[in-house]
Amino acid sequence: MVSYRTRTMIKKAILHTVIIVIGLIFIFPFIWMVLSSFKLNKDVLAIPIRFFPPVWNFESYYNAFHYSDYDFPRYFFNSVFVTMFAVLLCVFLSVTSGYGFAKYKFKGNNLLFTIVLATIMIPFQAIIVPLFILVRKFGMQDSYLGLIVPGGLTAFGVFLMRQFFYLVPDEIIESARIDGASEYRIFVKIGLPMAKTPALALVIFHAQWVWNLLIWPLVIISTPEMRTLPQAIALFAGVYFTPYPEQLAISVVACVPILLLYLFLSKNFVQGITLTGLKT
Amino acid sequence: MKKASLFRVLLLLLASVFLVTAGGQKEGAAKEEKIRIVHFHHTQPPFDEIHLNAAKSFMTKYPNVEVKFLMYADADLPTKIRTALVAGSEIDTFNIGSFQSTWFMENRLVEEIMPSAFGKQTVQEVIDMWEKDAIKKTGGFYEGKYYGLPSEMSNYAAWINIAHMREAGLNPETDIPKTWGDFVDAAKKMTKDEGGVRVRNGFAINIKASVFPFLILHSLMEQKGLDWGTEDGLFASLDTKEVVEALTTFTNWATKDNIFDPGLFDNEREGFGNGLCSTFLTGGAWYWGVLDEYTVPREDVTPFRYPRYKDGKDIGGVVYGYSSFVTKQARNKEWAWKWLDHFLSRPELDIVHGNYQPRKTLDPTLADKYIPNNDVFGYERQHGAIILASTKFNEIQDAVGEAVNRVVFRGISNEESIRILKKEVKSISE
Amino acid sequence: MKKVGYYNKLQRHGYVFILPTLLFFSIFLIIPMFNAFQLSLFKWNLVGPKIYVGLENFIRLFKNERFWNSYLVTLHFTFLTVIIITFISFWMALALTSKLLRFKNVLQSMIFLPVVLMMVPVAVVWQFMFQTTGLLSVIFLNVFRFNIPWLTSTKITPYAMILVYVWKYTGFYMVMFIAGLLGIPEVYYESATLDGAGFWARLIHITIPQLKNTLILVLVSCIIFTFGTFPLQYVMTEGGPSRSTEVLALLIYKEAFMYIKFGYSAAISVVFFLTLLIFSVIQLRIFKSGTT
Repeated sequence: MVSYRTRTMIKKAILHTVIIVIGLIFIFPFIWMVLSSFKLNKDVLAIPIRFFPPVWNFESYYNAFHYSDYDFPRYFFNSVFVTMFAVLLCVFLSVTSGYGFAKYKFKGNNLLFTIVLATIMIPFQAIIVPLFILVRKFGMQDSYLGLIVPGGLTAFGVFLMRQFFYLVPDEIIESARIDGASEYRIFVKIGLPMAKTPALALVIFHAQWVWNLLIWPLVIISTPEMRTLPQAIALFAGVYFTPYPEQLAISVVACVPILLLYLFLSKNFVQGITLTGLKT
Repeated sequence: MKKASLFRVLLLLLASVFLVTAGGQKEGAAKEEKIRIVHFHHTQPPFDEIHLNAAKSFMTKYPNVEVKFLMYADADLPTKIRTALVAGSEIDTFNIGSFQSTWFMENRLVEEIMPSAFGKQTVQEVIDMWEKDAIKKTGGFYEGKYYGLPSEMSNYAAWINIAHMREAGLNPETDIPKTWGDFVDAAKKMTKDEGGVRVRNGFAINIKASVFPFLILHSLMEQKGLDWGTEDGLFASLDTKEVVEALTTFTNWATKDNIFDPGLFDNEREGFGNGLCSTFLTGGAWYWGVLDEYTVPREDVTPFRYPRYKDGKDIGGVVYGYSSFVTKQARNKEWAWKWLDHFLSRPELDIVHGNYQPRKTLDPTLADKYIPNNDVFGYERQHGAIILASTKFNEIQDAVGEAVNRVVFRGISNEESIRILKKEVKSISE
Repeated sequence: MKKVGYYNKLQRHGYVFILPTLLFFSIFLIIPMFNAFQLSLFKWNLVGPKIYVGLENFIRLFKNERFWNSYLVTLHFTFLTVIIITFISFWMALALTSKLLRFKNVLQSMIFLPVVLMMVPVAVVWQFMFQTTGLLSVIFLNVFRFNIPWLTSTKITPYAMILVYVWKYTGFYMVMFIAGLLGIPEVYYESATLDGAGFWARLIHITIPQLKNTLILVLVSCIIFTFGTFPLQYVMTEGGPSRSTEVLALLIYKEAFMYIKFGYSAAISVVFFLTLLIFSVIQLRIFKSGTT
């Protein structure tokens, strides 16, 4: 009765409406956050609740970034630098070991993987102190290395890549071997391209985790110049009084880079990637 | 493909070079002959600027000394100090609150006061540079020895919103509460509900953070004649009927008297400043500066002495403070003390923003000038309850906070809650 | 004989691939982990000597009501949250890879946005929603004529925490599902549609089986991460009201960094670890990952 086209149009309309509403619900708190960063401190949690700033306070951003001796451009750079290299390290380690665990049946495969996975089963608070002492033995405290190396290690990345490498059909690998390709060539020419989407997902996940990490930098960084952004934000919680607009202002600015990264990379999450891989 | 991997390898090499040199630079700097002092402090606007200037002026006065003034959020500072100490990082001096300092003194992590750095012969002479008993009240004294120098001495007073009083038909001249009974009556009149929802609390406290109920209970207990200043005293008090009475006074504010609904807001300093509660009990002289950040104007507000029990002791809000210490691992202890002396030598700068440093060089009239109603604070300070000195302060404080929360949120009786508290405190002291 | 030898030699290349990871992890993760386990047999206040106490810490914690409260709170939170997040993120991922939808890029970012926010501003924002005069309260009063004590009831607050956690992390798992969905060859769907398969048939016979590996990833990591939830409770409720949201990771933190009982805290970490280890091993055994 109703044409296929009409049915599809109705489906589209419903789908769009539902998803847009859900999307709005998800970002609503963020919108409130941004608006509040432009409020005066007293209006942020005043009663009756106000969504829009009754008085626009643009000084909050200025104040936040010109606070005392703080060097926000430097903190920003630190965060970017550390995140970049931590993510590189993480992706490198995850892709290689993920491939190794998934595609090779060597003795102890399962055991070693379980050991690797076990490292995320212990809460980070439990290993902070031993890790700090270790890092200090290497002289890595208060340095980029001390932030990047521990920051680049996560069993989650290994797990993620392993699961996705299972999707690479064994037949393709076998035929490449028969053609005389070395294992590394196979890895680079067959494995890596198939890892592109999950690797990008890992980039996003790990980037936002390192970027927002507070407790580790707090413990090992003492020099003000080496601070990362989350520490700067935490410093706004004063003993008796917290200036919300300034704290929110920095928080807003701090999440923009990761958001942009996601917007940029998520182009890869909307188009399909066929993984047949066979060259025809 | 080959080009891409080569590029990646180059990038990694570049990065490693950078990283090694970044780490190396620090080593090089340390080889210079300057004396380094690294100081840990909590961040507290607007004092941060003043403190950094003190460091700068010290370095100008003594060009052979380098002072690094590191600031952390107050809640993170004890952890930061401890991890620095355990890992042997640079930490020469630090500033900490009297709630936390006992642990550092008992664990022998800090130095006794060094008179020679002050140009004096005896420790007593240094102590006399500050008000009588100031060091004891700000957490710098332990088992007969003196370790810390006061940077702040504060005490809690009660605060009330006069405009709310007038609105409720109370007279600010005559109706300021003197007993806890008066207090509850006044608060009840000022509590407002609209449409079944609390829109103004007669009284409020941050019940989420156990330290606040603990400090108020501390005063209530001491008013009832119990000794909460020592671990043994606290434990012994848990068998009395007075401890239940004091706890009941407090928990009733949320339950029976209904002058406090915790759901309205968390932070009572904020809530009071925004006109969302009419009284609170956790504000020191520094609160005037905080109030200016909120909507309620100074004229509508007055501090007053903590209410007392009709036949209870004349004890006011708690007295606490912050002190500065020199660590045992400080590299140049004499200079460290010199730095602290300099750092704490300008109390007149702090008082402008309401921070009272009990140094004798402070002109007493300044306190009256910058702290409205300073007479209230002065009186209460003389009659204040001094905080529990215990290395297990955090655990005990949490257990007491939980004793309150059990009654307020789970409907457990006050007697039962004390019984559970007694069990918990017993296992803490084991 | 030669074939078997060649096969084994081939498989041993796997060691080369996992070597860098094993190296880094051993030094920076596994050694500290063993230190932490070792510490559970001692009493340590960070600055004094470590005092050996054997299993005393474990005996203490098994007798401690606060520990059991924390354990149950965490189990309750994890169980409900994992089910809700897995369900919602799966359907969101399906919707956001649908050919019918435009602006996929932007919409995905909107759902992922809460993931990138720091916990501190998140707590401020949700306080705005949850206080008695807050947004959610206003909505409830106007629509349902009663109010919910979101953060001041021992029965309700755990659910408020689940709400915020689900809001924050659904996007994370959604992206994982999307990555998995994108890996399913179009070809399968095309031939199924030609055979007359409808939406549900395609879902059950193609999508879900193809997503097996992704599903395992999502379930196992969701359980592990959710069980270890910490910043949310730390910033929003500090474990309250009356310890009703005091999750294990928070208790571990308090015992170590506030009560300075590092040995006891390490013992709780061991129990935490063993719980997750058992969960994960069981799951990985039951749902064997593999090449499809």
